[in-house]
Amino acid sequence: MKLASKEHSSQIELMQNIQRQALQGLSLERVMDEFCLEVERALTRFHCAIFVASERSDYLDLLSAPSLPSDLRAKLNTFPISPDKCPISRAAATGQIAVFPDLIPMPYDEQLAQSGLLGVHCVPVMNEHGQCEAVLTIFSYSERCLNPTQVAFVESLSLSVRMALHYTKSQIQLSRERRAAEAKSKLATLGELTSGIAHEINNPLFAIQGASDLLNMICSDEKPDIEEIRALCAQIENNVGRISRTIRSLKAYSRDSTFDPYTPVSVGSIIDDVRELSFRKVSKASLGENLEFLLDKNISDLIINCRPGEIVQVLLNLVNNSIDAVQASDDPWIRLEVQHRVDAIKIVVTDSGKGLPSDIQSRIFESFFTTKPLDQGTGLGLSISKKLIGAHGGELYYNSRSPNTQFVVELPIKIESGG
Amino acid sequence: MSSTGNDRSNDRKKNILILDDDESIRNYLVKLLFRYGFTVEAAATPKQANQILRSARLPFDLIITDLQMPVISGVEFLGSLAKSENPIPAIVLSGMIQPGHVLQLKEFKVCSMLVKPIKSNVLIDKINEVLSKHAPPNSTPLPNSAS
Repeated sequence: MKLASKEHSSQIELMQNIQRQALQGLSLERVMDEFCLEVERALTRFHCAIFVASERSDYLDLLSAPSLPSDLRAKLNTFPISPDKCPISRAAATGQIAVFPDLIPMPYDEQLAQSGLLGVHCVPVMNEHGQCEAVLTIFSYSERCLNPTQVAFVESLSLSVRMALHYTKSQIQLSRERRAAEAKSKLATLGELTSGIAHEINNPLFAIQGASDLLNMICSDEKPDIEEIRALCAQIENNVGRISRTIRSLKAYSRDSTFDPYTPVSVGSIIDDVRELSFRKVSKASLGENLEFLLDKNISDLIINCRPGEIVQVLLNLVNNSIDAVQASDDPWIRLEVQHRVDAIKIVVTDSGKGLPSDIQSRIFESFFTTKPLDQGTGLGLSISKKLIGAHGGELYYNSRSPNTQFVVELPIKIESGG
Repeated sequence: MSSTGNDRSNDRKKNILILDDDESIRNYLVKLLFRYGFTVEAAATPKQANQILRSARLPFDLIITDLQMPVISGVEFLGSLAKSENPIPAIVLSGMIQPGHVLQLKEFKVCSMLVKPIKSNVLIDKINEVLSKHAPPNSTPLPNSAS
């Protein structure tokens, strides 16, 4: 009884483990290897293997046998399903449990005995049409057979194997579909980017072409206007700068940082970086004391796991936008405040602006959308920022309920208490 | 060769409105069209363009507009323009014309769609072609070389 309950609880654990691993996106082989190892832990001194039937139910392929000797694994890699072959093949062909040694001697007995096996117990896993889907096999080198409780346990595993196979396969299918959807959305972004790039590059090219045409015309003038020539040369220079700025931001945008390591850093060090990097622009805009960084000591010491460079880039972009927006206004101020939520940190950047008009709010995160003069913005900052925060599992949004212009970064990341 | 904006039969220069949010492009087009004898006004936004249209002393013979502009797009602007009683002929001059917009622009009876960058002489030829097609019946612009 004790053993039965141990095995009963192992069966529940088994399924929970399978579900967890399938959810982690492990391959079918890896999940079923874990399944076999769990069965072996419950039985002790036996080896567990799972064979799957081919689509036409004419062959068995070894899917998993994590502890079986490699020579035996090689021999059993793939073999035809037939009622008069070894017990594994027999179980698949008949849909009945097949064992070695059996009461009635079988043609394969001698071969099995020679391989050093003392016992084999094969449980077929049948689908709803009565066809064999898989065979769960227990091999024994040390004991002749399973005891009756163990037999009952092994035979009850048929349904578990079937569920595990189906669950894992559907998870794999799901993650494949999810990847396809992600690739599709990346392509859509690329399409959106391409039309933006065309606009962003063709405009300055046209201004350059125009300047060159006008310069040619001036050459034929009776009295070429030197001031006009200078102005046109400056126009060429400005527009070359615009093209190269667009290309630089595109590089930052399209760079795949998916595989960059996440590093534990303190919130304080991130804010320090932002403070330092915004210093030049702040002093140039004579904002000085009017750029405030509000964060408590206990929040400053919090350690978050992130790509620090990206978080700094996003915050710097928000601060820079605010500087551009308010520097010419009366009594400008900018405030960056870090708040601690239960499982997230919330970084709020507010400036003295009176909020964005609703038509601009709806477009602010589009690539290449900008309200800045052409020599200042590329219109990529906020769309890149949103992408980066999204990759951290967080959110970047405009808070339309604030009386002042306010952007919020939420990072729902695992927070460990820092030293 | 290109003709100028001088329309002798009407004894007035052809009047063109430029709409582009890009300052260097506005500057260039104003200088270019001025050299070719047109009178020119330039707007940075559709809102500004509408103000100029409302308060203009001279009627405009042509509008040259960009498509991608913040707040109100060139397509929306052309749409509202097409609804007016006597629509002014328009040339679209944009860094990117999305295939989806072409049909809509044709519906608005846009005379020509040009993709930046293009050379000045191509633009001037196109302007003259559109102006001569849309000239009132009693006026025939005379060919003349650029000054």
